[in-house]
Amino acid sequence: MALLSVSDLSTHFHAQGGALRAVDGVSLEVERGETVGLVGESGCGKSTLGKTIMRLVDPTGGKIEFNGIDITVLDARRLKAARRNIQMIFQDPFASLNPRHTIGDILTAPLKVHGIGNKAERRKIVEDIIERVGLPRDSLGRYPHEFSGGQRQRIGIARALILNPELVVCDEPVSALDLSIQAQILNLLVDMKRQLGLSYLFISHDLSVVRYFADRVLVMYLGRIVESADNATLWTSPKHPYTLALMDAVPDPARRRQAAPIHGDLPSPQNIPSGCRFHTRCPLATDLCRSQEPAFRAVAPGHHVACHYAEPTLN
Amino acid sequence: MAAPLLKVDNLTVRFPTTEPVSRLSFEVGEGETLAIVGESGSGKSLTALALMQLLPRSAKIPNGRIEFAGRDLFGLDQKAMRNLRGREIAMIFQEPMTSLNPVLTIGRQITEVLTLHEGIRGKAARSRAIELLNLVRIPDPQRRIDDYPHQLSGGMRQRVMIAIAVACRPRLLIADEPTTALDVTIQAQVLDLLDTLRRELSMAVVLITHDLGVVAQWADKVVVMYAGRKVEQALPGALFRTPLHPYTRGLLAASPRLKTNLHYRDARLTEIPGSIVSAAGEKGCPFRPRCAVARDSCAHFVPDLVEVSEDRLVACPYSFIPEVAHGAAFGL
Repeated sequence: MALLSVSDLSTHFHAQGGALRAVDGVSLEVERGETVGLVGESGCGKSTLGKTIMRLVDPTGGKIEFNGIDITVLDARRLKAARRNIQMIFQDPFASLNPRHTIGDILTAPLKVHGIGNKAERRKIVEDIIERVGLPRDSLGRYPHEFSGGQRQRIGIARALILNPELVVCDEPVSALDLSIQAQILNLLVDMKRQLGLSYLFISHDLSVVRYFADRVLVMYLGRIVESADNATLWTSPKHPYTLALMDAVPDPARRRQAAPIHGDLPSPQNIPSGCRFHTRCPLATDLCRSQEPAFRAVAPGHHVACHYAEPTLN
Repeated sequence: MAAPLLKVDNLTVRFPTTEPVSRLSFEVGEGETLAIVGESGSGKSLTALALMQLLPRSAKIPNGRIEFAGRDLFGLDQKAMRNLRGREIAMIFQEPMTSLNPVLTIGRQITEVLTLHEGIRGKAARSRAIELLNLVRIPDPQRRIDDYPHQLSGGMRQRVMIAIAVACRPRLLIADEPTTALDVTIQAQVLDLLDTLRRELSMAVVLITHDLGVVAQWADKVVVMYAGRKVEQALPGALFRTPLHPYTRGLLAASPRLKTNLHYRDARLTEIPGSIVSAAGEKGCPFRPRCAVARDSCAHFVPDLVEVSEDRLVACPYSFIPEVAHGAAFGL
């Protein structure tokens, strides 16, 4: 049984101009000990998907099973208990920490909410986690503004890990950081995974980071998964034209001054194109693509693609 | 060799307690793209503001010279500078939403520049604005010209910023992190557009970025900045093949890349320890506290930039030592 199993999940918002279909029929699994990377452009619904899995946003339809229990139908008390095992790390280390609380308060709050330990025991847990993420103990009495961006992200990681969760949803955890700090935080996430046996759903727009950090990769476009494969397969034999375009858009010294691989913007999730959602930007689109939505089908074991023209991988 | 279009010589920017830009020199030739790369706190954005003479009032420039097309910018009075700014030197910023006025249509914001600098008004200005929107590849410009910024996507807003910047056919465009807020797909489109305009309008570009990939793909020449100083200068090919300064080497080693098999299950990323603030207020080489090959002597003096070959400068005396050049200390 997978640790997390999401099936046919939708999250629609009511907005002026009609329903906004941010997540529109997503199925995915995260196995125990696995890191699943989720990539796509801004507006593709990847953050909404993360928040829906956290139950911070209510789904419109579908199921989210965690350890075999459907968490979309739990009452408040049981949801609280389930949440202890799913935690989140946010993109912006400046906005996600309360500036009026000391680091000690920020880290103690989840323990109090879940009624863990007495005062002395909580102190011990907090001291242990702050050292694990590479910050000195005396950080606990200080406030967020006294820390750099990289240090704040360490605090965000400590807060996510303090309840000893099984799954951590990381929403662009290194995107706001300088390159020299990114490597520090990625290494810390790897260390924490090893030491604590974590599984990650790693949401990022940065393909190079996902290339390094994921075991399996999902590519999302306008609310749907359009390709999924294990890490090595996806980057060496991508099948969906969108995946190819994303890879070609990553700046590369080998392609001096090359033209942009795809044109136009992501269409609005309030007005999703007919047929294949990608056909308006796809260089290979035909009449079939404009009229009929492609099925998400296997082209090789463990490699799925939603494109009419994806050829099966030959052995 | 022809005289450079822009020549920055020994520029220092000082605030009461800090010196975010120290003795910086570089040149940009006509029609050339120079990339200035560095992380937050490297002084790259303040350098851009100094070029535009848009520094905050508390900033002082105790020494240095900026020469543009043979004119000393510090010798110009306010009126002359205002005339130059927008007409001959233009700038675009990272966040197009905050640099555009939300309550004016984009057409109004483009025609404003045309009226101010070229005295074009009314219908003529409007049709010139439509031409400019066409030039930056905004679809359906006749209709789009009456849109407000919030009606456009991030990529489209950056195109509008570029249209405003190139309205008077400047000879130099300063682009400060023009694609940092955009997706890679849109980033590729915007950089492609900037480069096309550079050629079509024969304009030089100073591209300020933290993204080494962007530098590698689009720059003719690269300046690497750290803590207000130029630490290395090279042609992009050479910089990526044989980075010399320990900071450049560290940055390249620390960045995961799409074209490598590096995976977390097999190898750790090479870190640069600490952060850029660790050297604040200390003597010696600003990179010393984070440097993998620092020696005692690095604490005593700031290394000079040395020309190691044509188009190649580096500010580290130990970057020539064989084991350092082989990058053993950096996991390269």
